[in-house]
Amino acid sequence: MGLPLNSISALLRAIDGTDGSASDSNLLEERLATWKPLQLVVADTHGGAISAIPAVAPRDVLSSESLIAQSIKAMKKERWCAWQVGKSAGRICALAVRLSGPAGDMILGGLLEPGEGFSLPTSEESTALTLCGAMAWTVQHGQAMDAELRTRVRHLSDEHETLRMSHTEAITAAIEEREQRIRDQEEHMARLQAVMMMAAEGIVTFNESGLIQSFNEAAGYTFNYSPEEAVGHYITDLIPPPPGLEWDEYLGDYLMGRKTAVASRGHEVLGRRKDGNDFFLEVAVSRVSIAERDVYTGILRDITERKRADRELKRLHLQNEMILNSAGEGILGVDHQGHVIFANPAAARALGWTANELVGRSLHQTIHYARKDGRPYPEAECPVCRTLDKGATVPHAEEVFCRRDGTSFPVEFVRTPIHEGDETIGAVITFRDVSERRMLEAQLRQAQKLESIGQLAAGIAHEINTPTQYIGDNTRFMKDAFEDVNSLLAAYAQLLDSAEKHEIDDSLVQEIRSLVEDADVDYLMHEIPKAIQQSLEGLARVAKIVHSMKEFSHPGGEEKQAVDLNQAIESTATVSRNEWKYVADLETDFDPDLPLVTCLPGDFNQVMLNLIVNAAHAIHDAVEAGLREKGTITVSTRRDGDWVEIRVHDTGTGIPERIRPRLFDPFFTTKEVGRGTGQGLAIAHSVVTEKHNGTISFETTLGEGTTFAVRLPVSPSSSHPEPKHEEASSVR
Amino acid sequence: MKKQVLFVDDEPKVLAGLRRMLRGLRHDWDMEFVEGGRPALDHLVNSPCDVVVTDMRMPGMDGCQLLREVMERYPATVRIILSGQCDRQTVLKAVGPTHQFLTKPCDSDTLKSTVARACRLRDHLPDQRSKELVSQVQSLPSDPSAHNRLVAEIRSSTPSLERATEIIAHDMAMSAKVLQLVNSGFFGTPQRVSDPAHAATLLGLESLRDLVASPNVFFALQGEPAQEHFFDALVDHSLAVANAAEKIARAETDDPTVIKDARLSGLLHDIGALVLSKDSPELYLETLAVAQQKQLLLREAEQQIFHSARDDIGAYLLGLWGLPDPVVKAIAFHMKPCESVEDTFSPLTAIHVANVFVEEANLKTPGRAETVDDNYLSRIGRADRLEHWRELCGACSSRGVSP
Repeated sequence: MGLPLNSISALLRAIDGTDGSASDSNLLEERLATWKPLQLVVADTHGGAISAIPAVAPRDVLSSESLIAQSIKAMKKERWCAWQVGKSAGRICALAVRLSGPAGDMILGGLLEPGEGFSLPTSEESTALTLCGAMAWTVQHGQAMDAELRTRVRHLSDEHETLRMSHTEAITAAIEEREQRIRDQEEHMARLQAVMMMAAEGIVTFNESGLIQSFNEAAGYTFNYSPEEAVGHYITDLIPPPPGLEWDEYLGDYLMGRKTAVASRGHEVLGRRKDGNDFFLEVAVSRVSIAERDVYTGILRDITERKRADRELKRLHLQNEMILNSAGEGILGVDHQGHVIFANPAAARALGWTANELVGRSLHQTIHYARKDGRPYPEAECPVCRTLDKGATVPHAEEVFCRRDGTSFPVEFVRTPIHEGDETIGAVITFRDVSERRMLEAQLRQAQKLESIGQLAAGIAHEINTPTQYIGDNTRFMKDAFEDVNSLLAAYAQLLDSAEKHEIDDSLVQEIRSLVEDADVDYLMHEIPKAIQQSLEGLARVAKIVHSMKEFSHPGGEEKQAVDLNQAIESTATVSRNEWKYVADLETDFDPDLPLVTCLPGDFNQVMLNLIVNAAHAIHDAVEAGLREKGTITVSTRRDGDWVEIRVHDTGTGIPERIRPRLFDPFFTTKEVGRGTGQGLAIAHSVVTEKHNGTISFETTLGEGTTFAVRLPVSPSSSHPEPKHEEASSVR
Repeated sequence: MKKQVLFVDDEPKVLAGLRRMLRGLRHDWDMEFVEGGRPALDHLVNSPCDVVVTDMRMPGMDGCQLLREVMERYPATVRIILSGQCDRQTVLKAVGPTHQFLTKPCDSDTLKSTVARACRLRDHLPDQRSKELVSQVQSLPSDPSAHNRLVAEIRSSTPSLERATEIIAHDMAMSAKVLQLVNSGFFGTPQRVSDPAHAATLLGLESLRDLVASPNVFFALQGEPAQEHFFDALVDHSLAVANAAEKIARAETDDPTVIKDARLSGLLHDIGALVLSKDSPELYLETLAVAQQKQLLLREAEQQIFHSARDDIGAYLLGLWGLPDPVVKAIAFHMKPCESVEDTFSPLTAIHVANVFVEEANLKTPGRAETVDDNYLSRIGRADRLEHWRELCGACSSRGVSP
């Protein structure tokens, strides 16, 4: 719907017809009141209507102010702009309203002082509308039109008319040129707009009153507004000012960061999304003066994620620091030259330095310079340094580290190289002081040994008490017998005396006969040799037991020595006799040519004892279960090349399938309380495999029995791994 | 008549040694030597015996099982273990069926005297049924409150041996049991001990814990109210006599052994009544009634009904259990001191007099009261001390009621 200039002139005249007095104003009010707003019409610079929208205000609130407010609101919503009159008229917006009343439709123009920032370049072409608006403004305010304005309006109108009439062609050309310029500008603007809209950073422009004028997609994502929505909001909606901050401070200090930051690098403020949630925002706001008016451009970046990452990083850092600080294990970092680059408190504590003192020192020369026996440890042989060369991981190694005071302690350590590309730039060493564990292991072995000795002691006591009993009884018997024999001998001496004198007294013979009878000499002659014999046997038995005890409890120590295993097994069988003799017979099948084996005699005896006692228990269980009356334990030895094999076979219950895999596990036991620690096999395994490089395995059949086979190298030097015997169980 | 003694061991050389060593006693004992538990039981079928001496650990049937069988089949038999094995659990199992425990190597005199004593005691108690009754006793009921206190003490988180022994020392049954275990070598070397607290201390908390845990060793009396009433009175009476006997002994001697024996004899002098009432509670209550009705001495009533009286039964039991001889004798003769052969002051004197004093102080005694045997006191030359003792004991309040 066009708004021809002549009709505007008509309107102008119609309005002008009134004299602007108060009563006329009332008349206009009245007239206005009879009008019903149909549409708001906004004309373009050429006077053509861009669009028309229905009036939104209800009839009764159609006061001039509300009408204007409504209009502005409607225009804002549609992203329309009002026009400014020229500078001479100040910042006055014009608008026109088409009203429908009893006298027909009417275009009502309006002018207002913009509290809001409308900005479009002024133009001569807006004159008509301006005129219209100016008049309407005057009417609305019920005042006489400002004389100057009126004059100017008239003048302009006349001038326009004149111009139109006289320079139509020139105007047409000018218009065309101008249109071209505008098109170029628009194109340029569109390009800029496109750049702005497509920029990855959020970009917002707002005027000096804070009204947002443009808003790109990226900013839209950040704030959850569409660009269309955002324009018309104020920057304070997006970046709420901290309480109590004046506009100038807000703009200058807070947004532009004059006091807090270098403007170009941006600074941190709190943004607010459409849903009201606040978030961290980095802004860089700069001011550009365009056409003598300030335009502010803000570059916005949502730093929520960065802040979160920062926090997470900080948290991780703290957490790592805490882990390092509280770790019970010592943790050391070294560079490629083997210099300490960090040490956690546990490492420092264990080594007797402070963490700071350690940093920068050569690890090898500080804590690793001596071997277990105190000999110097050349750096070239140091597994720490070798690892650095190869860049390989040392999964689990045992070494001795030195403390600051020169004392040393056994450690278990893991070394993990740090790679950067193909290069090894250092390593992390995690170590643990294992002296306590070593001690516990030694104590456990000792406890088991003591326990078995304690267990044996009762049995050995019984073994010794039995012969002692009959040696004592026999001796007592011989004492009594000797008294009888003695008196008999005295009588015989008398008899001899008498015989020599050839005067044998019958009464003496009688006496001797009676003595012989009393003493039961036949019995004595028969029993005394047996009593002596059995006493000697008993003594031999005691001597053997005592000797075996001595053999068994071989102090040995940690030095290996050449041992006659047959004899060692014999001794062990003797001292443990009381453990098996009530349920089993023990048979030996020894290889007479068995070589001496270099081993730890005390530990070997312990292994044999554990195996024999286990065999006895297995047979005991079989006897209890009624499988047999009495069982047999067979211990055999054989040479096999550089190895010897000892087999302990029992006719016991056999080992149930479910416990076979765990048989050698430490702390696994099936023994009820009172039948030992149950650590016998675990210790046997550890002694055979770790201390002797041997193997221990078993074969078992349920209900028939079990055979344990221990294989030991004859000498430690020949203890290369065995090819054919796996250290695993096999089942017959 | 010769006593029949059976020796059992799995080691033939031990049997041969015993046979030779004991040959001197062949005129007093008929001895048999058998290898192993089962052969021993087979042997007993045809030749019952008075005493069995067996090894503990033997293949097949062990000594403990053998003695249990013997107790079942031939209850009157005296059962002795002669073992070199002191394994705690095994010994604990043997506590019930075993009268005495000898440890190898056992010297010949100890072995001879132990067996001889057991044989002698049997002659003292002529009634066969009574012999069986006493010989079958594995242990006797305790005062329920004492038993509960002991259990609580032993099971507490911080058990005190001192408190435990104190509780035991005031209970007849537990005192007798711990003295049996210590005087006979159940848990180590046998020792001649007559102070129950000392015996309990020697056993130690661990053994006491085991004993408390064995249901047949320490157990509380469970019975009808009348029986419980009798039992309470018996406990009070025994403690009163123990206190009085100790006082009298202190007045006469400085010998701590005599003083302790006197106290123990007092505590246990009526243990025979406990044996009888445990065996047949109703019959025993009837006995009390008969004594009251006919104004008999209690021992006379018991003799009538059970064919044996408390003094003989108690002495036999404690003799079987290996308690010290003076205690056994004191209990055996405390109601007939004239029959004893002693002619000096002894624990017998103390409890004979103390028992009369405590009964005198208590008028509710059923039946006729015991009286002091003046002849006996004259014989041992202490007749003039009686009034002094009475004064001493008057000062001590008799706590209880004599049954």
